[in-house]
Amino acid sequence: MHDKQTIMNLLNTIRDVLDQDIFPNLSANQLETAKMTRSGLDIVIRRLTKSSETISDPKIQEMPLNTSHSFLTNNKNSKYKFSVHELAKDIREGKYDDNLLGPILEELEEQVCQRLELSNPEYLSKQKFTQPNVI
Amino acid sequence: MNVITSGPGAYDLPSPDPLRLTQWLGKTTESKFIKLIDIKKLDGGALHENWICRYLFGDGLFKGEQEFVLRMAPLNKLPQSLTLNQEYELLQFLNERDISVPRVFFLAPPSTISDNEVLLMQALKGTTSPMELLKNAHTSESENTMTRLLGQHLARIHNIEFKAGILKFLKKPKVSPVQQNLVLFEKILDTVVSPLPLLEWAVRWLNKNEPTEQDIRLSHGDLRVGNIMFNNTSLTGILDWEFASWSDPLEDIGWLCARCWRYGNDNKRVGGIGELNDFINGYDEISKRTTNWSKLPYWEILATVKWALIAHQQGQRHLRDRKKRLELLLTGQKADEIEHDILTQIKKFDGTGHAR
Repeated sequence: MHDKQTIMNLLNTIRDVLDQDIFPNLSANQLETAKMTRSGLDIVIRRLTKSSETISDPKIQEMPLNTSHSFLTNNKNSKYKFSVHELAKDIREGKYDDNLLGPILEELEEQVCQRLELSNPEYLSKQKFTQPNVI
Repeated sequence: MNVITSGPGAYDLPSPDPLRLTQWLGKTTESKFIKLIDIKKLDGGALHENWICRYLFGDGLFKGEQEFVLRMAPLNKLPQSLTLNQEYELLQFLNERDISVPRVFFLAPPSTISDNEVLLMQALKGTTSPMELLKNAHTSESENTMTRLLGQHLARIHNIEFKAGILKFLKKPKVSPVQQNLVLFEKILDTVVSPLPLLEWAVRWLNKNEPTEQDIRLSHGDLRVGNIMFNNTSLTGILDWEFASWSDPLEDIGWLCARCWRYGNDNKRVGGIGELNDFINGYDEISKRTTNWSKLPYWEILATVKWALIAHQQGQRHLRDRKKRLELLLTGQKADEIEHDILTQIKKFDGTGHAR
């Protein structure tokens, strides 16, 4: 059960059951909540799919689900080789103030796009916000 | 006292307890006959819980049927939000100045209706549902009416100037409204679990591009579709004042117009409902001051940064709260979309105030 593939199969099956057996029989109000649940499930599935690690890896187990930033603590693919911690600290200290629209912009864009691939890849092509907003 | 506490929705009421509510209300209104007809939780509000209840009073302060909205503070409120006691005082102040807000009836102290304070106020007619409002604004005439009304109502709020001695719990900013926000943004950045470089960068950009002219007026602090009630095309009330402060009027307008609050109807700049020109016409008709509308895009960016930070806070609340709420967790995930939008807006910004 701790094998990543087994968990992926389980999650995909849960998604199919939701789509085929549960969603069609729900009232409008319940459907909104169900869609939200489905959206959360999709994020988990995307996270697991993207990860090359197994689910037993403590790094993945400890990932806080409230934000996908921790996934990029060290952006190995970045040509700038910044760690997110250092980058945030350097920006706060004004290291980039003279050229805020320079190369730093490209790095930040790369980071946010990588996070969107996990949280909502559709946003990258359509630029449409997930609805509804909750505050 | 004849107390009946059953009613649709009462079964899933965590608090207030319907029995305690009815007993407290009976005593407070000096009513010997009081009957709870209906009680249900209102949609929306990830922070406060709002319930609507309908009572039948035989005598006392009210006679006949009376509806109330019960506003209950969350267990973990955001540091920047007002207490219910302060919100009660603010709503009374606004009522006296003919601002369209619900009348406040009572503030039930902690341990009476619920463990926390509960605000009982007038139930206004209409809807705050963004999707219904967007539907109401389906013709150019209704869209124009609603947007113009929004402009007029907002100008009335922004005509309230800071005066020593009024609304003492709202502190006059010691720095400019922008700097006041940026200090808060950095505080939030210091409390979130993971570092957020894009938002750190956006704060630096906002600091560098701060408008030279700023005003200080009463600001709602969360004025967006969802907190504005319309009955068809008539504006019946502006709700949820928990984030009120003294600020530049463009802070409210930037929040209302930011793309993240257009509910998918991106081409209608004013909350997804209507055109900016209609809003400006209504606003300038009532406003006692001149607004530099070219600064609006800057304030829209500030609004988007603020929403991204709140989204991260909401995601974090999910981890902290005993009762796990999926919508809070998903709001945290949504921050990625908002951060991307900040980048897009800043790249397009040229300081001329052109509408996007």
